[in-house]
Amino acid sequence: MTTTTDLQQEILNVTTAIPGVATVYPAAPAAQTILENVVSVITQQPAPLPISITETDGGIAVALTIGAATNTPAADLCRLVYDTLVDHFRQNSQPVASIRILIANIE
Amino acid sequence: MNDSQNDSEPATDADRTRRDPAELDGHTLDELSDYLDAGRAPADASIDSSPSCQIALTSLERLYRLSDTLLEAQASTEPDLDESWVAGILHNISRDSRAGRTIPVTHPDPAAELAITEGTVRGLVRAAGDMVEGLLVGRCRLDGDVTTPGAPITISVDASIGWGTSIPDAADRLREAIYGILIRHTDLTIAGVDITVDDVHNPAAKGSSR
Repeated sequence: MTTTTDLQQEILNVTTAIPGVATVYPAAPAAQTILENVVSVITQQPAPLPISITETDGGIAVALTIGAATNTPAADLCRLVYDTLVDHFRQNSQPVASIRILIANIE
Repeated sequence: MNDSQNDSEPATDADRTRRDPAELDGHTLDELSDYLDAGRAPADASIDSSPSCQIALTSLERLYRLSDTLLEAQASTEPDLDESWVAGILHNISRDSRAGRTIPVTHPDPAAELAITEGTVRGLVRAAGDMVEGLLVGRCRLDGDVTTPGAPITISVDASIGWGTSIPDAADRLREAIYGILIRHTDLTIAGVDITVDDVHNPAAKGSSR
């Protein structure tokens, strides 16, 4: 059985392998992310992954925030990340309700 | 850069912006400036994982590069770099680095919710300013409904220009650079780019032509 963490890691791996994706930013607000990272150090548990996944009746809803490399057209990259993730889920017979991709920086 | 300001003096908008942690994911521009001065070490995850902070840091680096050039050039001619000029630019960096509105990226699949932040686009406009010698982008504004795909948007930019640089030529080059970078990276429909040159700085900055 695939856990949410496995799925988050899977999405992270697929996304970061796409040329032009420079960063995947935390989905949660910065302060919450820091707190979670501090807790993970104290408890020696893995830090939360920067991908938001919600189970819905129509499948999973995925949200991620990325930084694009400056040499890659950002809007095209956004579409490419979406298409790549959709293909990945299709190959794994994973129903998808929506995928939200936000470009928050071009670096 | 007004740290020596007398305590009894009223704080300006720029001062307040620099010290307001609500502006940049809980950080102030002063904190980001210190982080930059320290070579981004030790690493601060709350800064490194914040897109707004990263945009602001890039803008600060750009400003400091220009400021260094200005200070070198002015050392032999004028006593001080105009602090209000720097403070004004800092104020704009802080405001423009915030994520702002969400600008849609089109896709035929209705399950796709794709977007770019307004802060990212303002960062692109600032980067376009780097392509024009002798010019520094101050304030940048996106006028129009950026949240509706295809809606016409006007980019309004205030800029500072090196003394002796042709204003019409520099404005044309900046306009072309902004058009180019926004067409490359976004789906925005650019109806116009309005450029206001509102300041003149030392001629040596960024190797400006005369």
